[in-house]
Order: sequence, then C-alpha cells, then structure tokens
Amino acid sequence: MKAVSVRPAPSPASPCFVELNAVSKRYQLRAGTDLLALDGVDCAVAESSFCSIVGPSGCGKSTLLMITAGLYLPSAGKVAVAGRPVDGPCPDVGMVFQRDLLLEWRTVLDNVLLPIEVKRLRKADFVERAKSLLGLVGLGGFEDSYPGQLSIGMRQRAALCRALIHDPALLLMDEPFASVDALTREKLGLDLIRLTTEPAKTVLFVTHSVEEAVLLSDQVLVMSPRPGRILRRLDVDLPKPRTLGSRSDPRFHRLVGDIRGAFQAAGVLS
Amino acid sequence: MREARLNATVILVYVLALLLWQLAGSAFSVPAFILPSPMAILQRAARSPGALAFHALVTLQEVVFGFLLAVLTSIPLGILIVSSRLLERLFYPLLVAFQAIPKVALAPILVVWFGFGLTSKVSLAFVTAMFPIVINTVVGMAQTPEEMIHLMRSLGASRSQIFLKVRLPAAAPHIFGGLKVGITLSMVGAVVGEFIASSSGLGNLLLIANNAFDSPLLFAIVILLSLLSVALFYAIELLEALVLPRPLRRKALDFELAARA
Repeated sequence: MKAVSVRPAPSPASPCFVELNAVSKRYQLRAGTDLLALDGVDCAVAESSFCSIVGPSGCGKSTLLMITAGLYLPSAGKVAVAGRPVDGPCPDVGMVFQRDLLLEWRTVLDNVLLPIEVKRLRKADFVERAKSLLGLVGLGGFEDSYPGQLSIGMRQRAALCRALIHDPALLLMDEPFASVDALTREKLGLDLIRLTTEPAKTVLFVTHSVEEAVLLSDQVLVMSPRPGRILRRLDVDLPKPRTLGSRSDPRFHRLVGDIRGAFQAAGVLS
Repeated sequence: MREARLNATVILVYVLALLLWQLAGSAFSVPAFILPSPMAILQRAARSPGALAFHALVTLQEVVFGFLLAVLTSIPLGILIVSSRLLERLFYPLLVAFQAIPKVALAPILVVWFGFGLTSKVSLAFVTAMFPIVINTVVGMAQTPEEMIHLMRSLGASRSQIFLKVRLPAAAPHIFGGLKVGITLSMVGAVVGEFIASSSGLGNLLLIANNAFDSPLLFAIVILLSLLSVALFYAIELLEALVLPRPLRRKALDFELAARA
C-alpha cells in the first residue's frame, strides 16, 4: 500500500488532534428567528484515538461533525485540526454518513476511487489499494458490481473504503451504521476498528447507540438535548483489541450505565 | 424463443385488428368519408407519395429545429434555476405562468413576429417543448442529497467537479424523460403552427385534404404524423441507451413506468 498523505506530527503545543474551543453554532431560520444548535462546546480528541459522540436526536451532533470538517463555520469559538485552525473544508478527512451515498452509475471500484479523481491524483496508483481495502471488508470480487446489486451492509462497507482510500488522518462518521441491522452493525463496528488502528487514524464517530459508542471508543462524549453541550466525557478503559466479548466485561456495563445516567439527569430518558 | 413467440402474437393481434377494420367497414357499409378502410388509406397514400414525403420533411425539419432549440435553452435554464436562489425566484414563477398559456394561443403572435415561413413553426415547436425539459432538469438536478455535496466538498471538489461527477449524471435519467415528452410536444407545436399559417407541411396538407373532403388522405396524414412522432421518440431512446450507463437506464425505465401508471 502506498502512503498518500504524510500525517502531520502532533505539535507539542497542542497534543490533541481535534480541538474545539467554546464552539457555538446558531442557524438563521427563515422567519427572522434563529436556532442555537451548539452552545459552547469544548472537545479534545487525542491523535489516533477513537471518540464517539452520543446524544438525542437533533442535539447538534451532526453540526459538530460538519464544523470539524470545516464545511460549516462556527458562530463563535475556535476549531483546530492537527494544530491548524479550520477555516474551510479540511483537506485530510474522510467522511461517512448514514446514507452510503454511493453513485449508482459507478462500479464499486470507481465509487471507492472517487476521492482520488476529485483530488486529481493518478487513479492507476490507487487501484491496488482500493482492491485491498475492499478485500479487508469482505467485498473482494465485487469491484465491478454496481451499488444496486449490493445489500445495505455491503454498500456501507464500500462507503467506508471510499472514506479511507486517500488515507486521511481524520475520519468523521455521522451515524454510519444507523440503517443496517443489529448483527451487521456489530460486525461493521469491529471492521471499522480494524481499519482505523492499522494505520492509526483519529476517528470522530456520531451515534445514537450507547452500546456501540462504548464498544468502539477510547473516549465517549455525551451531549445534551438542543442546544447541544457536552454533558460528560468518559474514558473507556476496556482492553484492546475490542471484540464482541468486550460486551460481557463488567466495565462495559458500568460505562453504559454511567452514560444512561447522564442522559437521565439531563431529562432525556424519563 | 419466448421472446419470438411474444412478438409473433403482437403482430398477429395488429393484423387481426386491421382485418376487422377492413371487414367492418364494408359489412356495415360505413361511408368512406367517415371511416375509410385501411386499404383505401394505403391506396390514397400510394397515389401521392412524393407530396406526403415533401410535406413530412417540412414538418420534420420544424420539429427537429424547434426541439434542438428547446434542448439547448431548457437544460441550461434548468441548471441555472437549481444553482441560484435568485434565478429560481426570477425564472420559476415566470416559467409556470408561461406554461399556463395554451401554446396554440401564441401561434398568431408568432406568425406576426416571424411570418409565414419556417421560423414561426420552429418557434412554436420550441416553446411547446421547453417546459417538460426545464422541469425535468430541475427535478433531476435536485436528486443529489445534501450530504453528497458535503462529501464532495470535504474532498476539496470544485463546483464544476460536483456538477459533472455527481449532479449531472444523477439528473440524466430525468432529463431524458423530459426530452421524450418534449419531442412529442414539439410535433404538436409544429402542426398547430402549420394550421395557423403555412404553405407547406403535414398540417397544411391536412387542411387542404379536409377542404377537399379527402378522408383517406386525412387518415394517411394522421398516421404519418404518428409514425414520425414514434420514430423521433425512439431516436431519443436510442440516444439514451448510448449515453447512459446501464444502472441509470434501468432507473429511467422505472420513471417512465411510474409516470404511465
């Protein structure tokens, strides 16, 4: 495999790869009113770590991700990725959304190579890497299929390969497994861990599922209902590598309980 | 094999229907000026193939020019409407209001502007064909989900890359749907234009045949008009098959079936 981008060395001044400082986001609505989506969010994600954001619907989780990607600008506060302030689309991220967003008219291989085309790199240099990524997620042999011929789980795996093809340092995922069934979901989660530890990537992962967050993450951020604030920050000290067996660890249950407790205190679960 | 039998059945049904028409005409002694028999129509057409061909070519020319003009203006117009809020506000209500005008009502104005020649018919064919092409382009361009645009922007894509790699291909099946409706409508426009003021074309010949009580010729012209429309429709379909990748062709077919249902 060919290294595509040189991962910037973490500067000693900011040991965190993703840093949000008092970030607020206010949306201007039509009728002269506005909506406060994020309210003074502080967040720090260490390099090569996996951080989940859990919260109720509409709490601004997706907004947080968009701001980190530089696709939305915050109304207040500062955002930095790899020690550099974010003021436009980040050049070195991969994104995965709830919908796989595969282009129906391209083969699986050409879908995975889309970022290479957009970045005007030589496609031929990345075909091998694309094939090996597809092989890693169990899609070997499906290179020339069209997305319409794949199941939802397979499509989402192809979307994951597309997010990784240019070897981005940061992976931003917005409820990527929300539309797949429970069994596939756990399998995809563990696939994801495998793909993002070697080579190590920083992952920001938005999810509804408390269990999924604990199973996959090094750190879990619990968000309040709108306007979104960080209610709690939990370090997950489950042993690695994580397996489906990690779920029976007593620490897993304690963490899940803690997060539910935080939601309960905020009046989300009643 | 099954395909061949299916086709044979279809042809057989058509032949039987024609035979029935032929026999019913003589059995119930329907006057030829009300419903001429298929044989009478065919014989009438065979008597003046040159005239039919000449007038058909005139009409075909009007339709094709009008349609091409519609394509060249409507697709860019649709794209502009989608790409800018200002242009949407500016053009969209105007477009809907324009569509509310029966195009026939425009014909006299167009004749005043462009005279009795080719131009007035081309312009009527053009305005009748525009609407479905613009609307389908707008609908097609709006197919791309917001997240896909975000994804492209996060990769550093330019506006033109987003347009060429995502929006336009996603819109293509819809645009082709609009073209198919547009080409048949532009035939309507051209013939109506010929009714209002013309010295040639199948619409003109139709009026002449009508004044002469030449029913077989009337029917021959109507059938010829239908054949021309069908041929143009399938020409677009052929182009679609050549241009669109396979998964999108299937999608285009789904749209058509949904529209027919």
